Amino acid sequence: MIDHANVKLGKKAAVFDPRTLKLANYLLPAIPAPPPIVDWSNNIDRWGAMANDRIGDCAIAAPGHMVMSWTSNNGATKVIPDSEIVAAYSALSGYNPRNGANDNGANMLEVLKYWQKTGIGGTKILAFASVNQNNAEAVKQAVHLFGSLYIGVELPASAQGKDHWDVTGPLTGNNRPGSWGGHAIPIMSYDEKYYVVTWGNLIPMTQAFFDAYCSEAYVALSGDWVSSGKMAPNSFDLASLENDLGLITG
Amino acid sequence: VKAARLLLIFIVESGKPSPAAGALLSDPYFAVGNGKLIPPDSLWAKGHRYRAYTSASVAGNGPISSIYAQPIAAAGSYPLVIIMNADTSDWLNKSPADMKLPPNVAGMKALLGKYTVNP
Repeated sequence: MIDHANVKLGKKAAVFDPRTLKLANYLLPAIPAPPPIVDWSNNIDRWGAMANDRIGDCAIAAPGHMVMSWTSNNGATKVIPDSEIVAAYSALSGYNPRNGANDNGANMLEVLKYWQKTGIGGTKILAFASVNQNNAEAVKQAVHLFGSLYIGVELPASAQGKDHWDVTGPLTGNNRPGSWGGHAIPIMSYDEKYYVVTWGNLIPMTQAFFDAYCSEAYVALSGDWVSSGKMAPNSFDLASLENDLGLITG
Repeated sequence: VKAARLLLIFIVESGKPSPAAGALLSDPYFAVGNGKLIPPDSLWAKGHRYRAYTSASVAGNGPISSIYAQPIAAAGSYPLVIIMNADTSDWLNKSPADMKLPPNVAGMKALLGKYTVNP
């Protein structure tokens, strides 16, 4: 059970950069429907909050959990220490861990650029692309092909205290998107629901909740998921993913 | 000789949805991953792997087109399945009849039983 008494959020409002690659431009016409069930959580039972139980670093904690999942499905699990997650958050946001100043969250697109250029906890991504969150098939295919999906949700106040996220009524009052705040989380799995890691726990989210509250979504192509000459856990190699993504990585 | 681990390549024709192929591949037998959601009798849980493509994504001069050109030519039509030894990449189902998609999971298991002891 999640102790919601002190959890933090920390996703700043979505920023849309027209230069961001769009997965749909590369992927969707060329591949069939995604598998019916995908689960990359690999039975990890201790995700760790990665400091998001005390500061608003969710936009950095989510990549930390993605690295855990990628590496656990591809060999030895790598856990980025909280100190390195916080260091990346500080670099991006100006957060001062000594006095707590500037704990104002981070922007997901800026995090992705930082992850690609500078790295988080010694890991870098090769590329990233935005995913149309209004296309459920694209969302599922992204989780399948890239091992996770980095999403932003505008949480309603009614989600507080819940370990199962579903729409509980009209999107007004405590159900209004953003009435609690913005939160960045990774999708690790899906069946008829999505499963996301938040505050150290894997919890289910219904399609209705996703549709109502998800505001941005990105795939990241990582060497922790697939490296040259080695097949990814989903059986795709880098050439196949590049073929589908249409990217030259480097 | 039957392979311990298979790699299956499903290819459907671009722009021509195959309801039969769609129904087959949407069965939980084709769940993917290493977590608790994966049924224990699924293809994945038995150690096999698969990929699904459309004809467009394996055509032309792309990085993977040459890999499947010979089996696609042998099959003669879509949708098709290429059964490979996952450890050696040897192409196993060279009979065109065995490259057609079975109508259901039971048929799929029967087909795979020709090429692995663990369908």
